[in-house]
Parts: sequence; C-alpha cells; structure tokens
Amino acid sequence: MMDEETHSLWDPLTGKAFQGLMQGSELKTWPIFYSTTEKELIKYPGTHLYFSQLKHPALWFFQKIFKPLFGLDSGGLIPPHFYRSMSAPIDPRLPKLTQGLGVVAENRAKYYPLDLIFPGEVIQEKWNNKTLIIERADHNALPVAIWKNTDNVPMQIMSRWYGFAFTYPQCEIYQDS
Amino acid sequence: MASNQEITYKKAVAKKELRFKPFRPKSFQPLKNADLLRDEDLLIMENNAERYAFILRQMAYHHLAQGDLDGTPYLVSF
Repeated sequence: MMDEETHSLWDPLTGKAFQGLMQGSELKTWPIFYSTTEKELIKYPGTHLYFSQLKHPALWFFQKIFKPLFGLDSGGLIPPHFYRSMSAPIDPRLPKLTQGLGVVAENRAKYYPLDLIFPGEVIQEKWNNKTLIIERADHNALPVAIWKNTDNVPMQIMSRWYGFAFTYPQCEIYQDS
Repeated sequence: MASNQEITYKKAVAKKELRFKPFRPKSFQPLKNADLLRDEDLLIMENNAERYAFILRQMAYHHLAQGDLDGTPYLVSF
C-alpha cells in the first residue's frame, strides 16, 4: 500500500513501511478473522456489521464473481500482471495459490497449509515457552490459532502461499507428521 | 490491520490513482438484524471486546476499509 501523504510503501501484513520517507516505521497490527453470518452469530450475537452502500457496477461485479473465482474454497485466480508487479520471485516451496493460515509471533512466522489442518483435529506446537493450538471445527470452518489455556490469539492471517511467503520469505512450513 | 495515531490515515490509499474506491464506514448495524445469507463470508475485527464484521465480497472490491473506533483510526486491507 502507498500512503498519499508521503508516498511511502507499506506492507499490510506487517504494518511496516519498507520504502519511502516513512521507511522503518511500524504500525500496530491486529489479526482479522474469517467467519460466516451464521457462525459468527452463534458465538457472538452482538457483532456489528459495516455494510457498504456504494452503488457501483464494479462492486456489483466483484460481489458476483468473488466467491467462485477468488473465494477461500476456490482454487484461486490471480491475473498474471499481478505476479509481474511483485518485486521478488514467488517462493517455490509450495504451489503459489495454496491456501493456508499464517501465524506470526515470538519472532517466528509459520505457514499451515489448509489441507493439512484436518477438521476436528487439533494441532499443538511449542512456540518458545508457549503452546500454540490450531483448530478447525469442520470442513466449512476456517482454522484459528490460539495460545493454549488463554483467550489470546497470535497475529494470524488466512493467505495464499505466494503472499505470505513474499512477506515472510524465511517462514517455516507446517508438515503433517 | 494497522493503526497509528501519528499517521494521517484518512489519506492512506492503495495507489495514487485509485482503481478501487476504499470503504469509509461511518456507522454500523447489528449483524443479527442484517438481511444476509447464513453462509455469507465475513471479515471480523475485534476491538475492546467488540466485534465488527465486513462482508468479504464487498471487501474484495474495496480492498481497503478505513475508519476509526473510539477515536483510534484503523485500516483493514484485503
């Protein structure tokens, strides 16, 4: 992202400015979670909704094509010109459109491919002196990472592999044992 | 999502010449009262034990949502 004020470039995952006047600055970041209307309201009936009232053909078009072409369950479709805009080659360790959960905490970044997070099972790993738990309730649910015995969650993001690996090039990859 | 009081976040844009119009939410409504599909995909952010939902299909167009919560500016990117 570019800010209009200084034209610095910012990484939306890390909150760090990596080019321009603000280079070296870092903003506070929070995880964003995925859910559906039904699942959210079961657990959090008081959730608020921000609804875009924009009337624009492009918004209508995106709403129609998003789920089948770009949705979390889709194979993904990224236009070639998008890859050409990236400033580094895509990490070849996984197929570029692999969907997964990236976790960033304790000076580590690790990517958990979605097809290795089996519904109903729990992944439990030591992260320094903490225990990280990754759960996925069912096939239609997305995984969530949480610190064991707490309500605290680490920084996490559902992301295609190419994006996460671009931001965290030295990241670890979870492998089912 | 990133936030910093020292940055004029209202001016943050994806590109100098915007291809997509950022979402500038000014008010919210109870999710339970919204006429959405049960399986509508949502992006959820949490602040001070309150949860705020954005419709994923709308964010796929907007790419950015910018607003403030209790005076703290925020930016959600997708």
